[in-house]
Amino acid sequence: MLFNSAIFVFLYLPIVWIGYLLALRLPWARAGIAWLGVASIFFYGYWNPAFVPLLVVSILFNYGVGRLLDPQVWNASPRARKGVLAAAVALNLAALGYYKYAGMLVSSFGALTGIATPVVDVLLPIGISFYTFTQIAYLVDAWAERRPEKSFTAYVLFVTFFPHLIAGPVLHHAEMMPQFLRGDRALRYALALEGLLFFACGLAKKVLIADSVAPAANRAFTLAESMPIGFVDSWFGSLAYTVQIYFDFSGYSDMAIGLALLFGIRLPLNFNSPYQSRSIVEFWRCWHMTLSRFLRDYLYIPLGGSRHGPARRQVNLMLTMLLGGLWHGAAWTFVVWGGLHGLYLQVNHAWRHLVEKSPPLQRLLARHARPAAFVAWALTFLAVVVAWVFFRAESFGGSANLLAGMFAGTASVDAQLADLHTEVYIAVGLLVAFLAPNSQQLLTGAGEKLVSRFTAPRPFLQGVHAGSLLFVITALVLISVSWGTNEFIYFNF
Amino acid sequence: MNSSISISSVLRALAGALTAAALLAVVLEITLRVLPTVNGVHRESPHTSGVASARLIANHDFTWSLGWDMRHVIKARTNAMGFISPYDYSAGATAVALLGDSFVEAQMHTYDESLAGRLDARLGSMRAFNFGISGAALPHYLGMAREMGARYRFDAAVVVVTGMDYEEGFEAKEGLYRWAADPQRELISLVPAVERSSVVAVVRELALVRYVRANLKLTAGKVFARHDETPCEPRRLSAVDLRRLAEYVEQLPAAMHLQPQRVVMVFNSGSNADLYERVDRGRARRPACETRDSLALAELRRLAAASGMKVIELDELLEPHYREYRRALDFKPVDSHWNGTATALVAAKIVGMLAPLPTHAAAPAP
Repeated sequence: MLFNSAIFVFLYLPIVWIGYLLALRLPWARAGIAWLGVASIFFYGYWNPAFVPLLVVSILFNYGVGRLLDPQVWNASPRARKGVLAAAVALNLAALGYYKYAGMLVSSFGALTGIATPVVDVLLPIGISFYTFTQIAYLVDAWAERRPEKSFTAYVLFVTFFPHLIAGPVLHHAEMMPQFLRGDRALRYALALEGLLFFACGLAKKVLIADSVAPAANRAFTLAESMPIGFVDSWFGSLAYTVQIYFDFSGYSDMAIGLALLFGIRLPLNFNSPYQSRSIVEFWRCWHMTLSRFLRDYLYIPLGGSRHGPARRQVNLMLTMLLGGLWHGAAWTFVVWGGLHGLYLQVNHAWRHLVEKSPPLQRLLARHARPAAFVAWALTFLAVVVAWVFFRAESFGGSANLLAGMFAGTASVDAQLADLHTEVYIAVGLLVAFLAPNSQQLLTGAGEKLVSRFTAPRPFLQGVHAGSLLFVITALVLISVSWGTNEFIYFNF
Repeated sequence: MNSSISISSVLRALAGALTAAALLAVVLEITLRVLPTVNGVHRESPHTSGVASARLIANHDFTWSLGWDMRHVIKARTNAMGFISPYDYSAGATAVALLGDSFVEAQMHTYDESLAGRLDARLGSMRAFNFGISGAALPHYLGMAREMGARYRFDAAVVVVTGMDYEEGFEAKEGLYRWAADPQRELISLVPAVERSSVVAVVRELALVRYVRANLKLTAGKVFARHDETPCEPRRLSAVDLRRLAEYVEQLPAAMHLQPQRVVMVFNSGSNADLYERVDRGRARRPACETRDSLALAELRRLAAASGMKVIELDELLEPHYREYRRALDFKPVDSHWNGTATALVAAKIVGMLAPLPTHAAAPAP
């Protein structure tokens, strides 16, 4: 069930929301979160019921291991507890590896050795990367903090809560559990209205911009798989994808945040105007922020982070980015994308080091602060666009054909992909991404205003705002359905 | 909303929500009336026009645009018969009958870029009479051939057959011919049109309704449809199907008093999305699945060729062009109808097949 589908917006969401309101009135304190847990598992099963048992087994296993890591339950030695943790993490990764990477590994082995290998075609359970990572983080924290979650109902909801289950944000249990378990059982209207605002904003990003430029990006990348395409076509396609992925994923994240707010839950922010970044380091602080946080806390820092000198830091950084790339998908192009960003980060750190050691360079940059900032932004954006080519292309041949078109102008065909409408959408998308405040900046302010307005009991006005938002959401869903309700890009990861 | 909220508060909130929605609907209606929303392509009422089979409103300006953002705006006019053509059809003219569905009707083209317009430009003084109507299928083409064959003298006919044309022929669509239950008694029958109430007529004229139905191409079924891959369920043609198709091939040229050799059947049974995938990736987009429709169209193609009709398989025509230029042949992703490039290719092929044109093709235009 997609957030932009009619069945989700017009049927599933109202039923779950009203059911939640009713559940809050029941005497059982956790009826609300139990209802949301059941509804979330239904949401997951609607896509493919065959994978519900896998999700349930994963939840039971990790909850059980979490309980085992509680010293009050099992008073074992630190070494034994660490062993249990390592085994549990390995099992989680093994399941992820089987479902996501088996095909890639087998075919790569065959390609490297020349041995004929069978085609391994394992259907990827949707959201497996997200719920596996969420639970690995939980286990590590349970082991380190020795405070694993006791409430099974809350744990189920933490993993399955439908706004984040399929494509994140990647949650940290410490920021979610208190919200699920708080005593406050009244749903605040202002928060729900802020949620509708976020949802409408995310839906607009997805439907009006991302879906409008997606066909151009798809055409360009598909063509590039078979032949070099022209300069204009390749830039048109790569910029279309640059716009598409930002508005698609940040739109999804806004919708997820909005949906959670409808139930009084705040999810962490995932984007902070990444295309306005003036360095790759800054870009990674603003792009898919919850994944960056996860990779930092559970991979980069455990690897040693920057604690063992600059050389080791570079290795750790590169390893983190390579694995981060691989996390996105079972293809070597994702690894190259991650590696490219690892390289960018190393260049970025080297440049910073150079500036720190060179007072004349510092003075030069200070004297020309505005042009320097512009050049820094332009270089960062260009580097990101080039890296997206590897992220989107289906093969290295496709990436090479597109990059050759972008930088060498080689082409065997002029497919004339550009059309005025898509050019306008790309231009609008880029201008918004470069110059406009992001939805969090816009809506947090608006949300606060709304909160203050709705503290006074003015039901008619509350209804006017909700009715307006629902009208806009309905219109956007109808437009989305007319496109054929496109999936979100990150559903594939 | 606090859980202890009163009923009156809920009612007031509901009133507020409905008021806001109504006001926004009015604003949107006014805005859409200013913008080039699809307009004026309604069917003529058979109860006022006296024509039972479906036509557009005669001598009527219409606007066509594509998708939610109303791209590719076309403004054109129907002729006195309610078909899309810049001229009225004259009984004395030497003409080629053009039968088909929306691909032939061509609301999405300027006349010059439509198949009829392209043929007109290439046929010299001979005219292409466009009898295409959206939603039509094989039985309707035969029905129109009968109706128009009784009225005009054709030199040739072009029938554009698109995917699902056999299967959709079983659906009851008002004003269109459908397959009759027993092909031995009667091959086709006309589904009578229903007279609409004035309320429905007013609702259909609302810009909001036109936008949702024509620009967004939405129906209730489409809004709530699941997009699962439907499993392939291989079918076989029954004896009744085979008899129906054989009758069809026999009756179609006869209905227009033509030799089979003067009928060109254009089979547009594949999709351009499949064609692009096949060429760009070198593989099929989805596994081949023989349905009753695909089998029926293949059988129709075989029977038509065997009877002497000229047959064009569109994939064979479009694929080499796409392979060479890689330029779109339709309005995808918003609309899968042929664009001007495709109509030019199809028209050139048809004219090549009809050549040599008869001597009276050079007669003065009607």
